[in-house]
Amino acid sequence: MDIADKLRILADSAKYDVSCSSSGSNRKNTNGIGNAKLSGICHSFSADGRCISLLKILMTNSCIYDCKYCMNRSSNNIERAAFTPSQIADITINFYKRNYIEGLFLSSGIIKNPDYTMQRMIEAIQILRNKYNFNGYIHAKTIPGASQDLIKSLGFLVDRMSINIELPSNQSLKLLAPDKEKDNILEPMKYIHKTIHQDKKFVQAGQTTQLIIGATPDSDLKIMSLAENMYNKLQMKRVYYSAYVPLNSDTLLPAIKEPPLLRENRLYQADWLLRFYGFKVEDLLNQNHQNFNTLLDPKADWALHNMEKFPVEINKADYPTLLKVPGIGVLSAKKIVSARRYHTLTFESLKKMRIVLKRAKYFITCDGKYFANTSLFNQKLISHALIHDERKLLISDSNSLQLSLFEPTLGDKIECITGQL
Amino acid sequence: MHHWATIDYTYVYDGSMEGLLTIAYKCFTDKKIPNKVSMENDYVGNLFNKPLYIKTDLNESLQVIEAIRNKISDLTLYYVYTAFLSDDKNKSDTIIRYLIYAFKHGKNINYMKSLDYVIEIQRICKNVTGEAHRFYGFLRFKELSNHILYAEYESDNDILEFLAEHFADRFKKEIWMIYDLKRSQIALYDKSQYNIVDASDFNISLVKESREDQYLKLWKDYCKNISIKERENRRCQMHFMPKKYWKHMPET
Repeated sequence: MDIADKLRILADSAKYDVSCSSSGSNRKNTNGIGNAKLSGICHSFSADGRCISLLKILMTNSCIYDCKYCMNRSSNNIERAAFTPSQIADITINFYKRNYIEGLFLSSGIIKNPDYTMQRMIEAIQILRNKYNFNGYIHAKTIPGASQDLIKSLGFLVDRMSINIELPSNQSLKLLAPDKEKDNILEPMKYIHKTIHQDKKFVQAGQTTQLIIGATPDSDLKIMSLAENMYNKLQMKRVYYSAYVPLNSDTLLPAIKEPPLLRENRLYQADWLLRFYGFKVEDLLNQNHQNFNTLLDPKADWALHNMEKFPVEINKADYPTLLKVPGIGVLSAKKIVSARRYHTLTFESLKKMRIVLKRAKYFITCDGKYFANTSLFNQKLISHALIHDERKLLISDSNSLQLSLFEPTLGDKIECITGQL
Repeated sequence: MHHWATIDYTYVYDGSMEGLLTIAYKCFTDKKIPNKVSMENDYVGNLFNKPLYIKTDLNESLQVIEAIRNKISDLTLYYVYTAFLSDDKNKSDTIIRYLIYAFKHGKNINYMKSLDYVIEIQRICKNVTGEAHRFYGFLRFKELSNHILYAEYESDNDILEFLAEHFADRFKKEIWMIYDLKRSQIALYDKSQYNIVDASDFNISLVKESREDQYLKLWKDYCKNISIKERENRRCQMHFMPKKYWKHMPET
């Protein structure tokens, strides 16, 4: 089989992993080729609007496992291919030289056994690092069930590592991925977390994971609680949410026509709130309210349920309080805190500072003034107005909002353009 | 600055950074602000403003740089320098007015984020660095038959120095050329340092020779294959990678 066919098959099988980020590493060029930028760099955008930053491929799409949701499952009758380690290194280095990519994202189906698979992946990455002296970004997937020694060698070669949980609960895992065991996923995560703390050279851009959304009946509450745990206990850099794309038909899988993109969007919005806005899952969801409101973004929804905390005075409210105002992001909050030390801020000055007031105006006062008659500060009226705007946005923008969140960013969508963390 | 008189003149300079700083020097000495500041090439006369050609004075411009570093901050010098690389029509005006405010308020100026000229200069700078960052990703090299890496591009702002710095580190052991088609300038790197030269001084056809590149074909196919059909969203693609960049990106 020629290289072009291999690349076609093995890129096709890798694309359902949504992670594309090349951020978090500042690996230096030690007299070879390549370096990493802390912010990450997007090199192109595919027709689905996702950033192409790394050469994202599987080493092979052959697999001994039969996970129900996966297109590479052993029971599927599909074209199979495999790269040799030196082919992977060769394509990576030649793409890199032409500035097509920021580095490599290597994953694999499981051949023979987990350890054998990992050894082959390590071999490919060793060629890059040692033979080509390649200092660009490498993200590698660990294979569930591989030995700790191999995880360790791999971790010292790469910038980022990930193991996908994919299914957010034990029951779902048993049902849809009968060959995988929970411990084979969680134990390596804990080991990677521990080793990152012991050695700065180990996986310096941290670890990430992915959850599939909508292949199982798990609620948003369950998914977000799991994510919160990962952030708090394992210091995950990112949890990615991937709307389930029905690739296989199986009586155990839901029969859906389209991937649940709106739900995925809400989960990303909530994820941002956890990581950068000081929210906890219990602020947003509870047993009586297990799923996000499809009509409103989670922050606006939270604010409307906590009207007694508003309106806040822009010239006085502390930074954490500003961050909780719907429509005010990290950059805007920082600008406000900086500017008000020198001048009293009015609605006019906020506009000049390019702070978007569309949603924020309902929840703030500027120098004691509300944007309209104060009788408008009313939960029902605001809720009505926000839902109206959101609907317009969803119709006009379909899912581009959500896709912007795939962007590797530090914490604010605006950063996408310049920061791309 | 409010006690400074505004005068009905357009100060015209030669288009160099030193020329613009000479104008700053004149404003501070005269305590007068011209109605407009313009580069010689952009200057269009009008009924209201008389033109006054300011001759570039290297010594005066250096004094302004010293004063910025001592009395304001290195960040302000960085803003002035970066904004100067912009293609914004009013950049000369903005820089001069921003500097007048900056000398009035001192080192805190850049935190006064509700002041007009602070907002404006930060916007212009962000536009320049943002475009440079985009091109760190969007620039495409070809490997010529002599193994030289060659790239050409068209940008709004003058970002060649940003690109040269970036690739001098990244492709440290390669020989490469980056050609800014719009400004006819080329950055040349010889495995140790880069130089920026006028394209007219350099016969590009001597080195530029196209050949079949199997990796280019692989890359085009890869970009097609990596997209998820069920999620196709051209608007989103265009938002992040506007059409104006496509011309020099072979995968589009």
